Amino acid sequence: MKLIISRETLLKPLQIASSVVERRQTLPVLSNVLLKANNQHLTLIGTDLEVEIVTQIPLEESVEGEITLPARKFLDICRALPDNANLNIETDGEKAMIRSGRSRFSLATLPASEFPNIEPMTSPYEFSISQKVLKSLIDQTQFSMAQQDVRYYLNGLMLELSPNELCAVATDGHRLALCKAEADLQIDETRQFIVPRKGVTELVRLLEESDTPARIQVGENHIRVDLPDISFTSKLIDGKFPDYNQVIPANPTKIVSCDREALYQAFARASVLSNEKYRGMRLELSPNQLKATVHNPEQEEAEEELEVQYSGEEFEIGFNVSYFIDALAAIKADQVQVNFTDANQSCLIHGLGDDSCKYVIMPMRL
Amino acid sequence: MLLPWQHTIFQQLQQCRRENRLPHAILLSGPAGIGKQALAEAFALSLLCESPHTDGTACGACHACAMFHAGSHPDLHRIGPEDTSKNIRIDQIRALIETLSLRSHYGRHKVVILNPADAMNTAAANSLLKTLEEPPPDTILLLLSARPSRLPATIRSRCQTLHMATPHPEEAASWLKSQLEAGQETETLLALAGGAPLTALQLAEDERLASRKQMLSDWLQLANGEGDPVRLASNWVKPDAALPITWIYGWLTDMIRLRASQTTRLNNPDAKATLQKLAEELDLQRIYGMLDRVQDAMRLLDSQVNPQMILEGILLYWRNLPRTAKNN
Repeated sequence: MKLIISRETLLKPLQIASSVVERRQTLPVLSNVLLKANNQHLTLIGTDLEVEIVTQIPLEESVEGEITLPARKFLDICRALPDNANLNIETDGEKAMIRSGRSRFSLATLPASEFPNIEPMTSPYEFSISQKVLKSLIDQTQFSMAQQDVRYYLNGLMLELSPNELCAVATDGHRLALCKAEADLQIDETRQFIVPRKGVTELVRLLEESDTPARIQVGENHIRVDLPDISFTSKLIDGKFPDYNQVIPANPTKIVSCDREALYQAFARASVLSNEKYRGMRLELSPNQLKATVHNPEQEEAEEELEVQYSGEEFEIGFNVSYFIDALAAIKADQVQVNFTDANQSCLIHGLGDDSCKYVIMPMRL
Repeated sequence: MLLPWQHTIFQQLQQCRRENRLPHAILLSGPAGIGKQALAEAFALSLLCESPHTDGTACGACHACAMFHAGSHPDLHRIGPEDTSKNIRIDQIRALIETLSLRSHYGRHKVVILNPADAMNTAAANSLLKTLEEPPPDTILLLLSARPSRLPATIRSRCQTLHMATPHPEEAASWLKSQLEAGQETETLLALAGGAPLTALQLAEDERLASRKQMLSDWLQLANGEGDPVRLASNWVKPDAALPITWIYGWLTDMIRLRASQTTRLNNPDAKATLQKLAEELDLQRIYGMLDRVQDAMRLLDSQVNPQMILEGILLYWRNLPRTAKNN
């Protein structure tokens, strides 16, 4: 392999591809990045076996070939070269020579055949969606994913495709976040798959607040998201997501609505004095008034009163205040509606007049 | 990779695979040094290969085979004690469970080789139970152990046990011959290794055989009341205290055999005369007593007890055994 490339064109794609390469690796080849050159393109691939990122750079002249180089060292060299340097990369036996101006580097390589890159999918299901919409779907749900739960199918974000809707659901067993977006998917029946936590957090970093479409391919084992110049692939979780519809309260009777920001601020203040481990908060509702009280083992107490629209009977209920704060932060509407059934059942939160995003929180016994 | 005496058992596994009734967890048991790892690797490779031959063996040419031989196949997970630890720790098992929860990289099987499975500590073994009982689809767990009785019953009962016997002496000898330079005593090596060909091969390749001769003569001197057990123990403890104890175990069992019959098969055919003489000097019951001590010592070696003290204990006991020859 032989190619000439300028530092500027190489640096950003290399940074992106090597962002998933972990420093400490059990398999030596995983700390390398794969370089593939053909007549028109240089392709860079980095992987940690769970997530793979492929970036492409147009090339003017090159000799075909493929090789893997230590990602961290290659990146550090590129970064440290002067701004308008040109790199001349050439394989030489078991080494790769990089020449630029009067600098010369000889890097250790591993053969490309040892690199576990993901093969192209066979007959995937494909669709396109704008990056902005996908990003907001993920942002509004991902905080509810479980972390290292033994129910491994909860350690990720479930995406559900139905004929005209894309739906994202995340739950950790105590709370659930659900967000829907309209999309023309041209599909006959609903389809579900679970993207693991790591894939979700890496993907959301790559998505931009723009209307340019992301092309998505879903296969048996992987999901691939093609963005301009970047192709992102993640493994899927091997499991079935629980039936989330059963969790959403069907007929809430006690409906409270109020200003989202005011409620968020009040809970954020109150949470300072909550028990650090259990984060319990007591809510007392009476007509047009909501009172939140928290206390901690040091006998400190906080009390917040807030005017709300509520016309039902008085009652008390306990919650983990962090779950409430997370949900209120994710809702975009100015007014929120909080729906209760009774003190032993989950509550449902959504923007007033907007139920594209729903948050369900289980109560706590205080 | 597959050793000559493993073809039958390998084909058995392939037969299961063709009939689609491959167990999801297999416990490969059998004495050390008979090639459990080789069989497990060959079978794993045959599951991962992109275009295996009709008899199930891997093609050796595809991308999967290349990655397998480079040790970088993403659907093969090898778990064993890390760094200087003797145990497989719970973190390793938890990480394994997390990776297994994801789909396979290449859409074929996910294979786990746990070797040695009995190195799992209690916490690690317990954390594996749920996955071992019901792994994700297309996952095959291969547990290897020379001492399956050390595994918790909860682990054993969740695996299908496949016992590998010591290969037939002729088969083992002919393989060993092909691996060694001419002129080496394959029969003696095999006998010393208890019939395990890989152990025999290892013996031939390092200096342990030479050190055994020295140890045997030291041991004889001790029996005559000469030499210092403490000094000997400090010499023997390096590089590996398990080795002298295995030798002693072999000598003692041979002594017991020789008391019973003259024509029996021995672990140490080359030292028959010496052992015969030693055996006649001792009361049979006392040899058995000594053997018990040695077995205890083997168990203690896996614990935190100082290995040198274990050796000292054995050697002192050996020196102080009452001998008829000395009394006369």
